[in-house]
Amino acid sequence: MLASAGEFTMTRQEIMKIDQEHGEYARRRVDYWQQLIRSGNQYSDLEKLRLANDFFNELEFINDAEHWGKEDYWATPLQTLVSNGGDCEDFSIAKYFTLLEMGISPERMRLTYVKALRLNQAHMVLTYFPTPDAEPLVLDNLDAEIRPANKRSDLLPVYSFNVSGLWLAKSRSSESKHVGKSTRLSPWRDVIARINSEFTR
Amino acid sequence: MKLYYANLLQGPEPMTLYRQLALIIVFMFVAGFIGTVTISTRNLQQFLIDQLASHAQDTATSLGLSLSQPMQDNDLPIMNSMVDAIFDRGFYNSIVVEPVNGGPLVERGITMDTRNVPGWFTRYVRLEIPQGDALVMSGWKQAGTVTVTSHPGYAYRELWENVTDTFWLFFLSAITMLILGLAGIHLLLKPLRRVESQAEAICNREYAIQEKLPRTRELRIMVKAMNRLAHKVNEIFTEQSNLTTRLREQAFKDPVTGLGNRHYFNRQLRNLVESPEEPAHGAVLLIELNHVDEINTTVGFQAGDRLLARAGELVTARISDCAGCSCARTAGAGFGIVAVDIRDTDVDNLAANLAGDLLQLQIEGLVTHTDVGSIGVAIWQPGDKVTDVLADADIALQTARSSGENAWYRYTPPEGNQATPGGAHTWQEHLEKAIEDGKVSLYAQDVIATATSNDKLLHREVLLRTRDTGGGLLTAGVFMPMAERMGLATRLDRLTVNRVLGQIAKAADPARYAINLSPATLHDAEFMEWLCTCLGKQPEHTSRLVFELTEYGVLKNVDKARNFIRHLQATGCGCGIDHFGRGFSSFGYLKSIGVQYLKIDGSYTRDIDKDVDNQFFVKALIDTAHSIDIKIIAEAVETAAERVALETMNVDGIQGYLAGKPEPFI
Repeated sequence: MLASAGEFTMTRQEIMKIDQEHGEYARRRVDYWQQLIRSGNQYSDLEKLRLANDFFNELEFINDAEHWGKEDYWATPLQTLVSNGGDCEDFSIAKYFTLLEMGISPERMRLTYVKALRLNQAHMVLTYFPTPDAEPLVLDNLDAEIRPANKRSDLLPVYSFNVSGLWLAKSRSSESKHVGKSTRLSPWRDVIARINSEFTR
Repeated sequence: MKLYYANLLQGPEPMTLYRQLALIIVFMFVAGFIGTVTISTRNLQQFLIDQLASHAQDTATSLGLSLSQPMQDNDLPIMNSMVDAIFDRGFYNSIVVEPVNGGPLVERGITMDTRNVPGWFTRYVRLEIPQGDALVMSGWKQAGTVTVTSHPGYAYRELWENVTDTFWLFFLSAITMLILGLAGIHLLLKPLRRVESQAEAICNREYAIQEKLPRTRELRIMVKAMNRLAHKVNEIFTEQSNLTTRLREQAFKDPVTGLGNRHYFNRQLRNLVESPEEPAHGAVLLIELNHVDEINTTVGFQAGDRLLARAGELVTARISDCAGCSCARTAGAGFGIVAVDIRDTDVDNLAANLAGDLLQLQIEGLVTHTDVGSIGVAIWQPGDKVTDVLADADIALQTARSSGENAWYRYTPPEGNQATPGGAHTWQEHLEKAIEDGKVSLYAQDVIATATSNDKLLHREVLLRTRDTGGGLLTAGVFMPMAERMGLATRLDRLTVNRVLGQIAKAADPARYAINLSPATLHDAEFMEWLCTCLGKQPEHTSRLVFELTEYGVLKNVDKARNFIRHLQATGCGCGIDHFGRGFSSFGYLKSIGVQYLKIDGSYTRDIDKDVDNQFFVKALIDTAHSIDIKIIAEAVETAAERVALETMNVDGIQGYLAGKPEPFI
C-alpha cells in the first residue's frame, strides 16, 4: 500500500513510456521527482519541505474546469507532473505524497481548508506541525515561501484533516470491491484509488 | 419352508424410496440454507461495517468542525451540549473528545443494545466496530481529536433479520418442495407399488396377473415377466385341476344326480365313524325309492333318471343348512345321508322332512304310485364299526318299509344304553369348567416328511383332549363339534394358542407346531386382532407356528380366509388346510389362498394301496398342488403299504398312526 515509503519509485521503462507519450519535458519533471523521492533521507524535515514546495510551485496554476473539464477534480501527483499544472488541491496532494515518500511522518502533516482573504476564494494548503500543539508551517502555491501560519494573515483557517485516518479507512475498505458501488466516492478515495492503479504492479 | 429362512436372513427392513427422496430434499435445503446464510451474512456484514465506518467518520468530521470554535474559546459547556446533541440521537456507541495533551474533555458511551437478537448470534457473528476520528482545530493549531464509534445494534438487527428471513424462505420452500416432490413421487411410484404387491403375491403363492402395464419401460418389462410367470403357472394349474376334477368325478360322482356315489359314501362314512380324530357320533339315513325299475321299463330310462335327479335335488336342498351333512346315491334307487354330530331330535326332524319330500315327488308327477319310498335311520357312537352301522340302517329301512307308505324309522339299539355323556346342558357346563380349570390337555402328533431316509419331522399337529365326567379321555372329534355349537370353539382355540406359545418360549426343542383353528374362529375379527398382537410379541417364535384351517371354514368365506392367512403370514407363521377334499368343491381358490400345504382327507388315503381310482385322483391332486408350490400331506396313514403307495405319488409328508400316535404334549 501507499502508506510506506518507496511506493512511488518508477522503473526506467515506465519513465521512457512517459517520454514517448507526453514528451521530453514531462519525462524530465518525473525524473526530477523520482530523484527527489529517492534522496529524501539525506535532508532535514525543513529542507524536504522547501524542496517539495519549490518543485511543485514551479508548475502552472490551472483551474479544474479548464484543466480536466470537471468542476472539482483531484489529480494524482503523476497527473499533475505530467500535465505540468494543477490547482491548489492538486499541489497540496502532490506535496503531501512526495513528502510522505521523502520520509516525513503523516502525523505531522495536515491538509487544511482555508479561505484566501485577498482572493475571497476557498483554498487548500498543506500544513506541517513540528509538534502536535505547535503553530504549523504553511506550504502554499499562492505564496512560494514557507512561513508559520501566524504570519499568514491573508489566509483564514477553516478546518484541517488528518489524511492518515482516511488512509486507514481507505485501506480497509479497499478489501471489499463493492464499496464504490454503494457509496459515492469522495474525492479522497477517488484520488487514492487512481494513485493505486498508477502504481500497482 | 424356504420362505421362512429367507425372512430370517433378510435383516432390517430396507429404506423405502420415499424416505430416501425426502431425506435428499431435506438435506439439499439444509445445505442450501447454510450456504446462503453464510454467504449473505458475510456480504451483509462487510457492507454494514463499511456503512458504520463511513457513518462514524462523517460524524467525527462534522463534529470536529463544529467543536473547533468552542474549543478555541475554551467553552466546555457548549462542547458538552454539542456532543450530547449528536450522541443522544442513539446511533453511537461512544463519542470521546480529547485535547492534544491530557485526558478526555468530553466522554459519552453506552453499552451495546442488541434487543431482538439472540446472544449466541452476537457472540458468533462478530462485528468489528469501526471508529471514525477527526481533528478539532483552534485556528491553525490542532486543539484535539474527536473519536466516534457507531452503534452496532442496528447492524446486528439487520443481520439477524437476514438470517431469519432466509430461514423462513428456505423452510417454506422446503415444505413446498417436499409436498410437491412427494406428490410427484407418489404418482411416479404408483406402478412400482403394484409391481411390488404382485411380486409379494407371487412369494405367497398367489399368481395374479396385472392388467395395467406401467408406462416406465423398466417396470413394464418386469411386470410382463411376472405376468408371463403367473400366466404359465395359472395355465398349468388349471390343466391339472381340471384333470383332477375329472378324475374325482369319475371315481366318486354319480352322473345322474351329480351327488357322490356309493364308493364316496362308504369312504366318507368309514373315515367319520372309525377315525379317532373325527366327530364320534352321528347318524346315517338311507332312502330307498320304490318303483324305479318299473318306471325304467314301462316309461323309459329318461323318466327314471328324472325321478332320481329330482330326488337328489330335494335331498341336497334339505341338508343344505346342516354343516356336517353330506349325501350320496348309494344304489340304483337308494340315497344315503351322513349327518355328523347331530342330536337325536334333529335326526328325527330331518327324517320326517325327507319323508315329506318323497310325497313331493308324487305331487310333481314324477311317480304315479303313492308309496314313493322309505327311510331308515341309524345312530353311531364312538367305537362303532361301519358295517354294523350300515346293517342297523338297513334294518331300520326294512322296518320303515313294512310300517307304511313313505314312512321313516330310527333303529334303536337292543340294549338301549347310550354312551353320550348326557344332554347338551351338562356338556356345556362340563366343557366350560374344563376350559376354566385348564383341564384341556394338549397332545401332539408328528407329521413326517416322506422321501427322506430319517423321517424328518415336518411339524407336530396339536390335538385337544379332555376328560369326560367319568374320567375317560375324549378326543377333539367328540367335544369340538359340541363346543362349536355352543360358541366355545374360539375360547378353546385361544387357550390352545396361549399354551402352545408359552411352551414354545420355554422349550429348547426346535419343532414346529400346527394349531387347528375352528371355522368360527376363522371369521372372528376380534380373535385375529388378538392373535396378531400375541404373535407380534414373540416374533422370534412365529416361524415355529403353523395354523390349520378346515376346508369347510375356508369355503364359507374365501375372501375372509385369504385375508386371515395374509395377516398370519405377515407375522411369520405358516398356514395349511386340514381335511382337504372332503367336499366336492372346485380347486380354483387354492391359486390365491396362499397356504403352504394341504392335508388330504383321510377318506382318500385309507387303503389307497388297494384302490386304483383313488390313486389316480390323489396323484392328480398332488400334481395340481405342486404346480402352484403347495405341499401335500396325507392324513390317517396307518399301514406301510399305504405309505409306499403315497410316496410313489410324490406326497410330501404323512401323518397317522404309522408316523406316530398323538402323545401328551402339555
